[in-house]
Amino acid sequence: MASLAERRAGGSRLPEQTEILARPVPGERRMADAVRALAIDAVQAAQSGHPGMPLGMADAATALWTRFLKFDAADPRWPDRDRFVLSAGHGSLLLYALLHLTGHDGMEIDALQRFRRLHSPAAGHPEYGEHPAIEATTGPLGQGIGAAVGMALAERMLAARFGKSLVDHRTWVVASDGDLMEGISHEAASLAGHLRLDKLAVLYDDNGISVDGEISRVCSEDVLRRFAAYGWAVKQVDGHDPTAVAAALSSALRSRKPSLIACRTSLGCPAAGDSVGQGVRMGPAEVLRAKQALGWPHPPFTVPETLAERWRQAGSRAAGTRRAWLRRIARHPQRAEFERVTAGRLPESWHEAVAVLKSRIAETRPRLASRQSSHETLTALVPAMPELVGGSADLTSSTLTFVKGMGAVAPGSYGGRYVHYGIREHAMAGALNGMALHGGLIPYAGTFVAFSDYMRPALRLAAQMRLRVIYVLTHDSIGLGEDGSTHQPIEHLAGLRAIPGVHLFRPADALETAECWELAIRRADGPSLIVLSRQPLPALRSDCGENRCARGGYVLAEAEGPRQATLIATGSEVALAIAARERLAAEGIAAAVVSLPCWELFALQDEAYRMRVLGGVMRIGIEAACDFGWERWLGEGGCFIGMSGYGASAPCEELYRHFGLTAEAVALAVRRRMH
Amino acid sequence: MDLRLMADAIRFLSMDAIKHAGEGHPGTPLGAADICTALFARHLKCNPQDPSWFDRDRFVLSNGHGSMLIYALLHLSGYEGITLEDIRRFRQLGSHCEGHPEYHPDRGIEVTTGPLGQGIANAAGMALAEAFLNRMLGADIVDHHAYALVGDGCLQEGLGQEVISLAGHLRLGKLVFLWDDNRMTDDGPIDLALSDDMPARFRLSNWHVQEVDGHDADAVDTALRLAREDPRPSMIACRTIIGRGLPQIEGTRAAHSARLDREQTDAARAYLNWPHPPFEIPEPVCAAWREAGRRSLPDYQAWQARVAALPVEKRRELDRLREGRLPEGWRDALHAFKRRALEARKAEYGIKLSADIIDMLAEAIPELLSGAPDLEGATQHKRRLAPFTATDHSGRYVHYGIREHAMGAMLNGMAAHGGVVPIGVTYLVFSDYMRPTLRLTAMMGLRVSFVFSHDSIGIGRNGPTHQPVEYLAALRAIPNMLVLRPADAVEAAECWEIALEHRAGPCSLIFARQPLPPVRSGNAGENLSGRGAYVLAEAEGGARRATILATGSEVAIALQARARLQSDGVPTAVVSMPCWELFEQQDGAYRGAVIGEGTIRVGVEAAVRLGWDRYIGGDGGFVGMTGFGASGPEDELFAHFGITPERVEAAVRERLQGNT
Ligand SMILES: Cc1ncc(C[n+]2csc(CCOP(=O)(O)OP(=O)(O)O)c2C)c(N)n1
Repeated sequence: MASLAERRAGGSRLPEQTEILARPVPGERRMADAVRALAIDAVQAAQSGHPGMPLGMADAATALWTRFLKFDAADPRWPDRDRFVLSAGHGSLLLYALLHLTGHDGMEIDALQRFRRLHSPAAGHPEYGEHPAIEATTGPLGQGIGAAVGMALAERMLAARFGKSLVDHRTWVVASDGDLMEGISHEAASLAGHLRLDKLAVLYDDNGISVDGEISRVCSEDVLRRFAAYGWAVKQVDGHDPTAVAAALSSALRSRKPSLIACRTSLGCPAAGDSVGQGVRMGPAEVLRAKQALGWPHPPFTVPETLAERWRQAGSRAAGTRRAWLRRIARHPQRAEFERVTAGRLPESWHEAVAVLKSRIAETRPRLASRQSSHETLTALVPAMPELVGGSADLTSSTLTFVKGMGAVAPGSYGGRYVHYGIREHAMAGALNGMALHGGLIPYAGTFVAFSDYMRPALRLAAQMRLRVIYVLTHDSIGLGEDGSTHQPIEHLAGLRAIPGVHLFRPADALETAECWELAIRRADGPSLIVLSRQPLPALRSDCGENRCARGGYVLAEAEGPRQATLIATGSEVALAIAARERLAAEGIAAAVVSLPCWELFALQDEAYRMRVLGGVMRIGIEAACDFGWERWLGEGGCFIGMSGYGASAPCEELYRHFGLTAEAVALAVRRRMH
Repeated sequence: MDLRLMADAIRFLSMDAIKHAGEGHPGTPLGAADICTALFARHLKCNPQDPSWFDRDRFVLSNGHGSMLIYALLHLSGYEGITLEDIRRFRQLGSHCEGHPEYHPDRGIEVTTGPLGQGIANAAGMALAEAFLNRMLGADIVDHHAYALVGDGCLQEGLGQEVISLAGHLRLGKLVFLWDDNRMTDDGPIDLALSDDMPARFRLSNWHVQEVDGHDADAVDTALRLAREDPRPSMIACRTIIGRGLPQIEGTRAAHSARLDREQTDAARAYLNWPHPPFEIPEPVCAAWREAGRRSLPDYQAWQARVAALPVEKRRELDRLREGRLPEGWRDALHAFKRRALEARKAEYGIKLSADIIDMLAEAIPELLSGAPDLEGATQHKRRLAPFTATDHSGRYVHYGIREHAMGAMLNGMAAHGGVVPIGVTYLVFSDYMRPTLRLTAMMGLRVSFVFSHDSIGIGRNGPTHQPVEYLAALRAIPNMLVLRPADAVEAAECWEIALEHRAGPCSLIFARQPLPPVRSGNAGENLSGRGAYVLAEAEGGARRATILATGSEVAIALQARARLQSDGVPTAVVSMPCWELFEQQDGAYRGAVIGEGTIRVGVEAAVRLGWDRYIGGDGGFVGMTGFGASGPEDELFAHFGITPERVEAAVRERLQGNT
């Protein structure tokens, strides 16, 4: 097979703009021109934006949206719609124009006219939540592909559960060169190929240009062959030939593998010049020239009625299919359950098994690593919540995220509820986003806290989109011991707490772990991170009535007598605080211990409660991590006992001693401050 | 000596140490012992007596969990930094044999590895540095390879493919990967999660690919020779059995990270016919290994002779590069820039300031290598620099493609290699894509300058996905990294001076996209940013009542708020805080005086509050972001989110009332 460069140089080179424009203009081209014209006008109005992708991919997207994509503009949240993800989010106008033209409420022409202005649903990059038909927030490259793999996987898993009559749709992606260079797309593509997600298709804008110029400057590999090596069906077509695109899309429908369709396009067609597409502004003269070249005489933001009508018809093309689906679901035996999971409602009795577990913990007071406690909680939750699906990035036996009986998803077989993501943290986080966006599943997945950095870009998007995803992050401090500093988180807790909308839970014992899991499961409007220890933790609580973690922080052990100091700790360090409290008590110093498993929830409590918990006395913070952010709880006279640099490789107890994280050190700090 | 026996020495040292430690990963050291024996005994150019010899081959254990493999190799081939005692105390406090290898070139450990995917990218960065220095200094002086042992994990990571693509594209011909193809990972057989045609991934990225039996050291030897002859980067797929030598568990999942007991190590001794007690290597095997360690001595001596024969100037230059010293007078341009900025006093796009500075510094520092992941246009740190390309390795600007993670990890490799001053530029939001590498840069204490531009909602219409809010906090949380956020042209020059002077770790230089109005006046003398924070404008007309603390683009807002308060008779100071970490290093008296303990304190930063409480105290005010941004014109966004002089002023006033 010829290399990309050779193909470009040889017979199947990229179509030239002039050549494309000289072709006869079929109706479909005119429909695509409407997309182009709107994109040009909106960029012109905003004086900013990226016209290249919408212009280049207009023909291919028109073919997809008018002949293949299953959707009904009347109900953009119809559960069995095809998902369309614009991974190359900088080309947002492609999506906005399509939504507008197909007659979606909420994307009227004024939205496009106000492209990139405050409060317009047509934001710079597509924002999930700005419009119901925007399936995902995209912009950071590669993320859309990651999410799409999750959506396609969710579809397969739900189809396995509810059957084809309720769940039978595809996931379509429009991606750019940049998407396909990012590591996350490699991981996601490799995973999709492995799992044979054959209802996933990626149309890729093979224009040979990125922000810095010719792709050949930075990439000389053959993308098609690479995807073939991942187990994809690959095709290359003239992206400006609707018939060719349609043929490729039809073959994607029949493929037994995920499909990559390289649409060779001429960037920015028909805007003259090479660099016009990527964020470069067009002047009025260029706009005029571009429209003339297209043969588009209409005023800005105006689409002639006949064309507009054809587009609106495309928007209701699947209305009949949707009505048929509504009839099917109306008499489907699993209707209630299907509606429950798609609405994200928890099962009636999801909580019972956890309640039983909690009372058992309160009674037996087990000494367990919190990752182990998490496993026990999952063992209670998984049977009670069929929508709960797990996974891990090749650390199943360390994160303890697998529960017996879940069954693993495998190529061609999607009845299991556990995904082996491979050593692909980033794709895993992307897939979690996709599953949550798809709906019908509550996904969780595990890796080490230290490797949360690998998934951070996707995690941030989960927070931005307020998705219900749960990360199980284990090995949460120097307490993991011998694996050493590369594996020991120091700054990760602070780094994660900094992300707006994230709830980070760091439970102190088995009971708190169960409580934190409850809170994570209940949380429907954002991601939860459950941060867990590798080393065993003693039981600290025997009460299991109220979920005390729900307030984020609480007085675990009140001072005996008037409080002189408050020891505030999270996770594994709470036990240390309790030990210090005892020491201090023996010396006649009355200290309280506050467990602070979730800062974000604690911050939401009223001032009076927080003051009551933290106390107007000397405060000592204890966490086997850096102090960043702790001043908020400690106040100015406070003192923090934790890590000031990276860890080391040695057994857990030795490290705690070595780094001065001991009850003695805490007691000493209190005593020093008293005198 | 039979290579097999030499390899068995590695196997037994490894299993004895892992058994003794009570945990570890036997799979890799046992499975890849033969591969690495072929490499170390027949190919690797090194001198255990002078581990940091500039022209040595670099060896990276990318699958760092197999750390015992490198410790055994180094110890056996005569590196004094890794003693038998260290090995006995594998994974104990104070041992040089940590759970995962930690950067220590004097002991033969070229980079810290463990987080998968990083090591191979580091090796690619080393190969890039080598290629550049080879052109700069000549093949007489710089001519070596970068080898990496790599497992399935590294190749599954996205970073792995980014590196494959880029190294192939740039034709880093001296890069050689030895793939420990054992078809096993932590969860079990790789087909649980992987069906890639791995060799194809390399081939189509223009690599030279060979497939051999990884337990046939002679075959690996031959493949290594061919790899070195080929002008492309090379991948040798070495089919192996994980945990080879442990009869009960070899070839199984258990071998990846099994705990070993006496019974197992005894069985291995019988199985491999190795009658020697734990931690004992028979003399002939030892001797063969020491001999292997001395193999490159003639090369070493010849190199020293060539260096000695260099003209004085060239020698000095080489010494300078080796020691990582910058050329005499490199600061002159910066100082001139600062003076000019003080005279001109005009607003300038933040990132353009950095670009202008680098344009000058590149002239003064010939070993400076710049680059960006496809954001050259928006960040402009190329200017006059020629590109580093497949056909011209003398270029000084690397187009990384849209591969931030590879860029970060390659910068680490370049810095660890030495001889070059690596700089990487991207948007601040995309720093997350390379965050795993940032932590390693800091942990290794490498001098890498990361330039992160487009640092707040100030980027405007691209919207929240492109607007950092939590990034400053998250970066500041990383130990041993300086985060510098200059407020104007003068501070920009000062921050660059700090960054390049700082040799104990990385710096993140954070720049606004939007214009930064001048905030500094006065003379160009002292580098005020060097103290981390300083009083930019002292309160006037009485004792200071309020202090406004700000960084970067918000310093100008703070000054406007101050003007309002001052005109209203409230003596107010503005403190610019370009670098928190440096400020923390000042003495308590200075810090107290600057932040104005006892005055009303308000922090201003277009980012989240996390971390600010330290400076604004319990009842201080903060004007910044509480959530994600929005898409709109930048000035509207600042107004929308209330990051304005009025709000700052109001925050002070609320507290003034409280005070009286
Ligand atoms: C980024 C990252 N993710 C996860 C891990 C945890 N981890 C260590 S080894 C390993 C499996 C690696 O498999 P492979 O590379 O094939 O090594 P082998 O099983 O051959 O020893 C995993 C997942 C890690 N060290 N780094």
